[in-house]
Amino acid sequence: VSAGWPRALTAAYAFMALAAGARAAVQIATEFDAAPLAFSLSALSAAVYLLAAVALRREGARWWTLGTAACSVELAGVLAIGTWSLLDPSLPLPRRHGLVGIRRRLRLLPAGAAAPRPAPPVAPPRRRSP
Amino acid sequence: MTGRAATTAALYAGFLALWALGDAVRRREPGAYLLLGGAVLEAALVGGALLGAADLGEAGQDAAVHGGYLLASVLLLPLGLLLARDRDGRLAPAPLAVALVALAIVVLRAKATA
Repeated sequence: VSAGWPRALTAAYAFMALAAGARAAVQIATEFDAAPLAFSLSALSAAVYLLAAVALRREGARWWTLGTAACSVELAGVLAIGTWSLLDPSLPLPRRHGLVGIRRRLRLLPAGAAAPRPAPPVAPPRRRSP
Repeated sequence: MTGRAATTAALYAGFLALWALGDAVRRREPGAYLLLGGAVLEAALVGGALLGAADLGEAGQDAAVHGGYLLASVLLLPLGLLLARDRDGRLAPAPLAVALVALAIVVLRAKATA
């Protein structure tokens, strides 16, 4: 009996495509103006996951190449954009975007530091009485 | 699905995932009891999703997100079964294990956005 490990990988990509696609659709429909680039990248990642899932499910050298390319693009994209978001803390990311979770998990930014916070008010210096 | 019911459902899904993983390691087809357990879980999730959909208006800003998680919680197991089915009609346990792990995460996310 086949355990189905290759299909487990296909299933994982299919679920990620479903999750990322649904999330991107909701965020683009409700709060696209908050971070158009971040939400567009989420939608793009969903498309790449879907392509990888379909390619892993099919047989043939062409599909294998396509699947490998999709997985490579996904890996490069996660590393590149994740690194960019780390190097540029002012990058405007909405509170619930996936990249915020990546930053938080890497512990390079404190939780809730997705959006730049306003500077705290500076107290005026005390004057000494003569 | 919210509260303790969601936590119980997530733990139950995790238990079934471990069961399916054990079958995958031993290269056994998923047994009737595992499938029955999955059917019970799916029935509970459908019931929870219907109750959750009725209260969707109270979820505030997260209503769309919560609705998405409820829908995903109902669709994940059938999708997993579809992906687990072999050409000769046999079920492979590893894709089922992946589907059940994803389901546990989705149920907990639905609980968090309720």
